[in-house]
Amino acid sequence: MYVPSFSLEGKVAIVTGGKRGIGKAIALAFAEAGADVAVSTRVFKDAVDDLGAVAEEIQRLGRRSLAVQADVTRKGDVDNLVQRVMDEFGVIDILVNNAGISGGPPLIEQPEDEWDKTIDVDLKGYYLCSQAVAKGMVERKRGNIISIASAAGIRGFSDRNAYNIAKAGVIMLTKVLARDLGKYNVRANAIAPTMVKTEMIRELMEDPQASAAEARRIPLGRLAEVSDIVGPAIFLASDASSYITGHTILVDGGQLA
Amino acid sequence: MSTPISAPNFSLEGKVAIVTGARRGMGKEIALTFAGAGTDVAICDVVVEGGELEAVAKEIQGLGRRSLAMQTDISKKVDVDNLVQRTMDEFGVIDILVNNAGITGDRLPILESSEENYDSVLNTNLKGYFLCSQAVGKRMVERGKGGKIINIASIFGVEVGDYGRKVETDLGVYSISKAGVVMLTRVLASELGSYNIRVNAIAPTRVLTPMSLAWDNPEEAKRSSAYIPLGRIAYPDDIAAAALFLASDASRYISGDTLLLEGGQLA
Repeated sequence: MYVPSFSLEGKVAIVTGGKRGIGKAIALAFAEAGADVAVSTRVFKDAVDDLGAVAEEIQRLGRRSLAVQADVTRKGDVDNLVQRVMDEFGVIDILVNNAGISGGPPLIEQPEDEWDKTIDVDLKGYYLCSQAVAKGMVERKRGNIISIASAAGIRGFSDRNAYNIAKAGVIMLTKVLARDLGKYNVRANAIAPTMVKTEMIRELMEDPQASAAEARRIPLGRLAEVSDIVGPAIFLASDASSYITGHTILVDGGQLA
Repeated sequence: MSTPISAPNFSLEGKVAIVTGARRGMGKEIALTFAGAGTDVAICDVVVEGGELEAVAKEIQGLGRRSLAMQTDISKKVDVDNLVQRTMDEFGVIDILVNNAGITGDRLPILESSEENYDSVLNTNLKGYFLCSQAVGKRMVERGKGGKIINIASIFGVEVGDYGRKVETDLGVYSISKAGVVMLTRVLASELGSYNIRVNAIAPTRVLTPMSLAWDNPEEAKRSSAYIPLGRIAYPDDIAAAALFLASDASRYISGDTLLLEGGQLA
């Protein structure tokens, strides 16, 4: 009888945007599943969250960790992140592209500099990190890239402007990486959540009526918790999904059905 | 905005599942994997002569789980109702339904395919899923404790089959039935979400099972592997692992999705 393994024992992962929200939840769950985890963020510490505290939490789970300041839109920062993780852990088995931004006015009113910023963080950052990490994965002939996309990359959400477009780009980036890297035993997949209760939708969360109205649009009747994203991330990172590549898993409570 | 510390739970301890078409191939693998994860499993197949289905039930029992083996033609409502009733009588609940029983039908272009072939493929591959989902879905709604329905679809229900040779496109009728399964999945997810019943599909490429051209034909498996970025066709355990994920709490916010298991073929 076959017993699928969801363990990440002995793996090394990088999670970008690991200071809070989805990134922090994935980093901690990966550690609990047995992985050593490096986390990065653009601003190491703010009034609420501290990347160093996430790294300490990982260590309390009995795993090694590393907290690195990195702006994923800057190649120098990304190269430094990858180099430091290699120096420390010697290998990178899993990359989770998660660092992202949202927001801004409707697309026709969006200033050019905001467009550039959104596309830079949400798409170019994924490209830079994937490229930097994949080179070593190709040499080692194994690796796993997981990109946090969005349901907004599949269906146009009218209040999401360039974010929609960047996330659609992430879904195609995932397919291209899967095609290019499959022969090296490197897999690339994406997770497309609908609205997850994080900082990114703080305004909505603070309006009970509006968030209840959003929940009613979802067949499962509630918005996503960060913990809902963790299961799919572990599944995609583990050998239980060893035949899945180029795929985008919708984690949307049935919203796009 | 709280952060969970707990890793997801992939266990199916104490659940009850029905797996259709379980005498061999994917259905058998899924049934055994579920039993290994702690589930009692009722299994059915249209073919029971030869004792293969009964042997799978014995194997499930050997894993310390209860099982029930039944002859069921899923395209017949009376058979499906009997399957569901007997499972309820025996186990009291149904937590998980895996719609898996299917046929490929004649491998002919649409213009040459007979009406009989069309009817038989659609009756089993699509109507059978509808009947089983409806019968089990009603019990899940009545019970009020949610449930999971997992439909085995196919990449041929998403795109026209192509391993670089025309013969693979001769699965036209089969492909239509599987496209219907993908939409059945989405409709059920919409209708049943408010009851916390999640409905998802798995769409594999060619799987190494007795139903596949690649079975007992390593040359064919090798040839079709050339069109797949990961360089191999699927194995039944790839499908079983995905089914376990979709049946478990680890996928609790996923519904209406069709999980592609194709090694990147459609990327």
